[in-house]
Amino acid sequence: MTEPSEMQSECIEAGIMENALVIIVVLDKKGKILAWNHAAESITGYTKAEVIGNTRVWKSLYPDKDYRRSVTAKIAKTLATKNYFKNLETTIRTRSGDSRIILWNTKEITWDSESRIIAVGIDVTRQKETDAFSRSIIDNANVLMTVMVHGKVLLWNKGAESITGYSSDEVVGSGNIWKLLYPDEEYRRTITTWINSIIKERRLFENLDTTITTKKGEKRTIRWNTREITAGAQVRDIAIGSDITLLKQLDAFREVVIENAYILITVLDSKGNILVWNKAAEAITGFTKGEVIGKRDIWKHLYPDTDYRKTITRQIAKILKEERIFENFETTIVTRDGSQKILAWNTREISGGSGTCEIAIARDITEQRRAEEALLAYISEMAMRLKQPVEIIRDNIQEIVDLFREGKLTKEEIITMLGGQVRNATQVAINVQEFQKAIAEKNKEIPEAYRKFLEG
Amino acid sequence: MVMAGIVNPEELARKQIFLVLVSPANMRQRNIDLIREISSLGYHMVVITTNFPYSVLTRLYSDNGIDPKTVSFIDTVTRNSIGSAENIPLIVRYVNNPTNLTDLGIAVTEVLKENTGKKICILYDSVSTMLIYLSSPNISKFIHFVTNKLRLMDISGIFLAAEKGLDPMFVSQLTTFVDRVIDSG
Repeated sequence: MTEPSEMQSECIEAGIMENALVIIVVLDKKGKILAWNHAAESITGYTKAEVIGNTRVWKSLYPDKDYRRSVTAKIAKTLATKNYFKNLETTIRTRSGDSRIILWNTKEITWDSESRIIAVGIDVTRQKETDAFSRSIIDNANVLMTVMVHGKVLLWNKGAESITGYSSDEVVGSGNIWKLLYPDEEYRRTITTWINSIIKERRLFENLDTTITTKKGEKRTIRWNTREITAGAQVRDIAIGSDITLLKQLDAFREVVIENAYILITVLDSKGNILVWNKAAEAITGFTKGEVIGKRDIWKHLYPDTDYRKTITRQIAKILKEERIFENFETTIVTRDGSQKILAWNTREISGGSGTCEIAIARDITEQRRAEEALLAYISEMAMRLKQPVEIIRDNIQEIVDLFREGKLTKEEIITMLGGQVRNATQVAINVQEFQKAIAEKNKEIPEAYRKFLEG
Repeated sequence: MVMAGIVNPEELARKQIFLVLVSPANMRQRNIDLIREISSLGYHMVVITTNFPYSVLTRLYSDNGIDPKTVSFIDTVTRNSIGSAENIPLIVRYVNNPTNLTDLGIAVTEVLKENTGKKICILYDSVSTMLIYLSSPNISKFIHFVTNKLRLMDISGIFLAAEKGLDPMFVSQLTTFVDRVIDSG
């Protein structure tokens, strides 16, 4: 292939210059513009015809005198030591009044046998805006965010400052922060080993919970997620830590409440698998968490009679279809030791991140039912053994009166019969007392108010 | 006035056992009506009385045209009231206390033995009065015992009870021991 002719070279250069997406300006030593490409026209809004052959455009591009002076001074200072400058960032004002950030690079060239300066300006406005936006997000994110290279911190956002108490100035540029956040050597070693083993397998970790010590000495639980990012030739680690201290406290509180409730609490996933089975559930049914969690066959144990199980399943399905929840639905379960208990069930649907679950709460009302039965038995037996005997005594005395009036009773017979009625009445009084006592003693679980009443 | 047919004679002949529910005010009159009705069918009546002493009942029966010889008594009232009374063979046996079911059972057995060969019908007056002295489960047990004994000995029997005031569960239990429940009003 032959070398291009001088004319061909000029054509190629002119083509490149005109079609470049960056500002290309050629100036003489006095700043007079000799060339102004299409991109320069497009970005600044000033045409070739307006700028070629004069220096006026610089005043238009930098209308603020002070700013223009500072830019000029910066350029002069740079050019005093070398005949070019690199990555000089200035903000120009376009013809339409917009501000654009231009990154300038210059080079001295010989053109038409004269020494000229070629200036290339890249419009970095969009990139700067994006950077500022990203920075704003990073700074204002309510999470701890850090970027590291080999453990050395490059970025420490406001969230990180707020959570840990350590400022960006204290952290950026070193890797000491981890010793401060994890002052306990053994704990630090544990989590380092842990992190290393995770990273070895997956190069990242998700939802790793650790406890940090803040600058004030407070403990906070941080949930970490990391990603490896490649920026240019460098591999960096970005770590995001959410402060879940409050969440953990709420979880712990919720767990304490659930575990220590005196009522059976169970949570089922959408497939009916048991997710939660509290201590009361274990105590009432006799089936432990280990036997129940993650399975759905507990109902077969609690309702071993197939017909009964089918009946209540049908009833539950009907209620759920109509009302989506059920309240105080009573069933009789068979516990692990074979005894029967009556439970009153209430359910609610709960929606969470992992889908819809069902929370079922059951009260053991066996003793309550027994107490009610005892009370009912008491009332009916009392009605029978108090009301009727009193009526009998009344009728017998009436008979005695009638027979006496008719002259059919001797004195001895009257005494015998009245004595009998006195004994009957005495027995009724004894019955009432004994009966109250028996009921109170026999039914330990009857309400205290009833007991006091029964014990007289 | 004679009540016509409180108890079906044919059922009585088949040695059936009846629970007769009576209005509390009519209790004494139903007792007399039943004794007269069943005695007239040739039965010897054994009356277990928990309300009236034997002496009063005998007089009432006589006043109502019933031959006292057709009736024997197990009296749970007299001895309980006056302290002592001697048994009169074939006529009356006293039981100290209506709650003493063992003595009551023995007395029933002995009275039945005394009247071996006769057509016997036992009248128990009344289940309601027993409620003064015994709990409903104990009365049920006793009646179960008596009805079993009657069936074994092939004897008919009648249990009188006030028609109102009994626990339906208790009545339901009693009905399982008898052949027929009659509401005589």
